[in-house]
Amino acid sequence: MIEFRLKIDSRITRMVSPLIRNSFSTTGKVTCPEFPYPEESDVELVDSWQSGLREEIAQDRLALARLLNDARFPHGYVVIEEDQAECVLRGLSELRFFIREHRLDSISDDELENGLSLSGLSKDIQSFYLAYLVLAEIQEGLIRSLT
Amino acid sequence: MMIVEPVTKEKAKDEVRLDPPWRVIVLNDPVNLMNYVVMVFRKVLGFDEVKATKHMMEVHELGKSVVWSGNREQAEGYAYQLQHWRLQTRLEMDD
Repeated sequence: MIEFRLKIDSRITRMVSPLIRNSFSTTGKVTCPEFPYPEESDVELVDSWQSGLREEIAQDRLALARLLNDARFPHGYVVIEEDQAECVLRGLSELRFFIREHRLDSISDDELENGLSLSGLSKDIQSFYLAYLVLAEIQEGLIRSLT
Repeated sequence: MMIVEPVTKEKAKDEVRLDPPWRVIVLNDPVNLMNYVVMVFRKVLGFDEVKATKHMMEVHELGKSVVWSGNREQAEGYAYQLQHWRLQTRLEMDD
């Protein structure tokens, strides 16, 4: 079992956890990365590649759902089975991509990478930015646990 | 009949030689954490910490890094795993 407490004020985790759960639900169906051969014309190959990935990504989402639905999560506690850690890490990555592309799309890559000042951001963007950071903090904690 | 076998073997060797290597390329993205990328390179490609960090920095600073090169089947295997880890990955034939 992997257990740790996020180094974030629990008022923030309580505030953003509904937003995180909601974003996770909104992602809805499993998205699949673009096929790695830019000019591949073999439809069967593309289909089998993508359906395989979709199945694996669905497993990752399931593992992440367990974490997000855990009653301790809003209080900043991360508790997962060790064999689920890699799935959760990948699921978090997918969710962060979703938030970045759909909720923080008005922010440049540079700003996001170098850190933002919350003042000057709308309430909505502030909340999604904090959610994005909380998800990154979970990833950091998991990586520390795994390495 | 005695002549046929060596000729076939020679031809097979030539075919192996003609199979061009493929490159597995990881592209930069604004989302994945640096230590996440290092961890993935270590897990998927078997890099040590130094090599994984070097390739991660290439991705970060140059926008991409060729992380592996070799036969198509293995290249596809690595690309598939890297995509599963949500790293933006491309496969290109080595010119």
